[in-house]
Amino acid sequence: MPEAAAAAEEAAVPLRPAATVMRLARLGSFHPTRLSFTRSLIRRMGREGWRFHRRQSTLDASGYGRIVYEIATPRGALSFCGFSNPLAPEERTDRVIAEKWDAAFALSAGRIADSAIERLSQATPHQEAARYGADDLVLSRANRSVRLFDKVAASLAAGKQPDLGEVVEVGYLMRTTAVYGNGKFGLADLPRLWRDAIFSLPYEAEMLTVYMIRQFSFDLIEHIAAMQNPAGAVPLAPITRRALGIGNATGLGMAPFLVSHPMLFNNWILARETALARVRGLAAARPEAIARFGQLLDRAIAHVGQWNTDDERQQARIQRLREELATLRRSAIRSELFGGPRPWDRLVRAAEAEGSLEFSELVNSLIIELHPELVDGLEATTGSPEQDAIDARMSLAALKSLIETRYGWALAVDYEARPQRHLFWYRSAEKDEPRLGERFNEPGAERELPLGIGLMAAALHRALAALPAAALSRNAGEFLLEQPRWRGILRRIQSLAPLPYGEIEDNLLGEACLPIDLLRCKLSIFGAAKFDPKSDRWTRITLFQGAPSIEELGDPEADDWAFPAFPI
Amino acid sequence: MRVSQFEIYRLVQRALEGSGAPYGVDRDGAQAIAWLEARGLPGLRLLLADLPGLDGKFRGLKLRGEEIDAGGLSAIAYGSAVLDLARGLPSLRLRHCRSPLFLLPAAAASGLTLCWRQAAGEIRCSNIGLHGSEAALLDATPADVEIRTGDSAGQAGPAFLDPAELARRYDRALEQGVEVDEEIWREIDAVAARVQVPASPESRLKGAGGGDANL
Repeated sequence: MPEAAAAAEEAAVPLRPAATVMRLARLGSFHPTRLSFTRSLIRRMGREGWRFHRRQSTLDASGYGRIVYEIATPRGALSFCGFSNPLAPEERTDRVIAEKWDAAFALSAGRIADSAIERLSQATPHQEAARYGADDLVLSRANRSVRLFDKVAASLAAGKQPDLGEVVEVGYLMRTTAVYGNGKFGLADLPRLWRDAIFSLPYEAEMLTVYMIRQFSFDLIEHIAAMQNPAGAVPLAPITRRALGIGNATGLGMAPFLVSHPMLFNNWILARETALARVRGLAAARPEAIARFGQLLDRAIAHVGQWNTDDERQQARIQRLREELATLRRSAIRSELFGGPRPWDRLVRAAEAEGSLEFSELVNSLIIELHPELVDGLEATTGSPEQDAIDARMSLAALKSLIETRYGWALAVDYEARPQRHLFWYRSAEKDEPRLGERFNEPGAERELPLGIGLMAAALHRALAALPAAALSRNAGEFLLEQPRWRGILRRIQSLAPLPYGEIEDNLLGEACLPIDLLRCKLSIFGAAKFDPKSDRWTRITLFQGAPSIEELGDPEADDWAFPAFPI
Repeated sequence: MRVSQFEIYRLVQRALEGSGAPYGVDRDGAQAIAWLEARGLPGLRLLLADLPGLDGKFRGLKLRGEEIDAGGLSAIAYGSAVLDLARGLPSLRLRHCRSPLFLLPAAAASGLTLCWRQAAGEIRCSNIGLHGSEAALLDATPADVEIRTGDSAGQAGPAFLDPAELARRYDRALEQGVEVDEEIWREIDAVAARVQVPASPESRLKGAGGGDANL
């Protein structure tokens, strides 16, 4: 163990309890950290010297055609194909039920043959309606930003950079509406990805795809501008590139994942919380860390100042966050924060006790940013094979007691009250995506997805409590043989027992549940920022805004893009 | 048609759920069939034949001494529960078990040995391979299955499928996907579709399916 890590271990503060961390409202206030998947990917590509080569470009004067990129990594090659196609304005929609897009993309293993490029050019514009092969790793599509794309192209064609304020406000030239991996539509199964070892972290291939879509959007718009004015067009300036990420419109489809992959989710949160605890455990704040904190805080203040949304609830939260950050900045200038023992711990606890959730979690992201040497190694712990198992020998008495210990939050809810069962999750026949219905107002509750973990855990507890005392000495294996209806929830309870952060400790069926909280949590772990909720069920976000472009990955400062802000 | 293992898992999980399998039983069954298909064994074909007999019949079984009577029901409905128990016992006899092949994935993962007899002959599955009659392995007829911890002496004949070949088949499935019969797939998919709820104007009004971020 490196010296610094050893020192942090000695002074370790306890991890925050699940009862604090795993509440929907807090999870729905997360900001990206340096452990977010976009950050890890950028670091890895820089560290390993990944090289990018534009192998083929057939774009016409309107920007329709293809660009094929080859990516050389130390463990093998990848190919990324982007296909730009005409799209009538009335066909451009972000809804998952759309059937046509401005552009379609595929990330494939190896240096693919020309015949494979042809195959993908035919298949990818149809997205879910087509079939793919085991060499195809990720599939995606994107639409041009109506607000920005044509404006930026016209500006570049006129020989000038677009207005940076507008670029920052929108944040992207293209916006994805889905990024598919993990065996869908015949794509490679996850074990194939792991076996080739090019990818080793969750969603790494998907994040690379989004990063390449960003590169594609740069190349596409510069091509269009050059076609419009071959003699006078200019390329995107480095600052403009930095200000452009990739947009994403995310709906309910993403929400159930955190519940159905509890081991993976635990590992994501555990890595984040361990990182936080390590920095909180430092006995003193070194001068360089204090200076860095001030620098990051200034950047975060500017970043939040450039974060706006039409959503009234979120805009009010942002406004309060701005005020809290300004207050923190005044304290930081006076250095009163950093005297005494464990200053970072005191700051985290004060933010948690006195600040808004937005503020508390932003402070946590800043603190994590300060000490890469304590934090970055944790990214290797974010994966999980999601293998659960039943302990058939556990007595029913022990099982009952386990539920009481770990699911107290679930037992405290009165599920007989209709507001606590207000919602149900289901699979829609429309593109097979998860949706949310109102149990007492909409049809389909009999085909409910098993996402009401609290309700199920409480029901199992009730069933155990109703057994005669002697029956509690029987084991879980026999119980499940006789009553298979408990198999899923019982296995979940047993498998998650050693894991601190596997369960969201709120009722996901209750009237008060805001699905947007689930979306924001997962998206922040991906590295998304500038959350722009469009309802409580879907949000617009930006990925990779502020990230280095492929030419900059090897720069010493390439990793320093947390909370990007721009001079506007 | 070539599919991924994930697609097999998802199809089967839904088909079982659509047939009334409880949460947990459906996932175990799906995992078992994806395991079999990735090793060139006909999980989907057997499932299609078993589905009509399963519809709404997922019920509990009783352990009596060292014996469980499955009453002719397909092992996809209870295989994992039986093998959970078998892991803690020296041996267990599973009577009237339809499609015993469905026991193989969980048995292989636990190092359990399975042995049963069909008209075509005896079959023994253990961590040193599949021995005896290949035809018996694929026969769905209800049979009495002996489940033992670890391997036992005496095989039921030469191995027709050894662990190295199973591993090769799995690697090939990762490289190329799994070839499945389209007709079988379609028929199972029709059962899987039962779990979906038709889209309604209400659901769309509430923002299901995302919205339009152009504005």
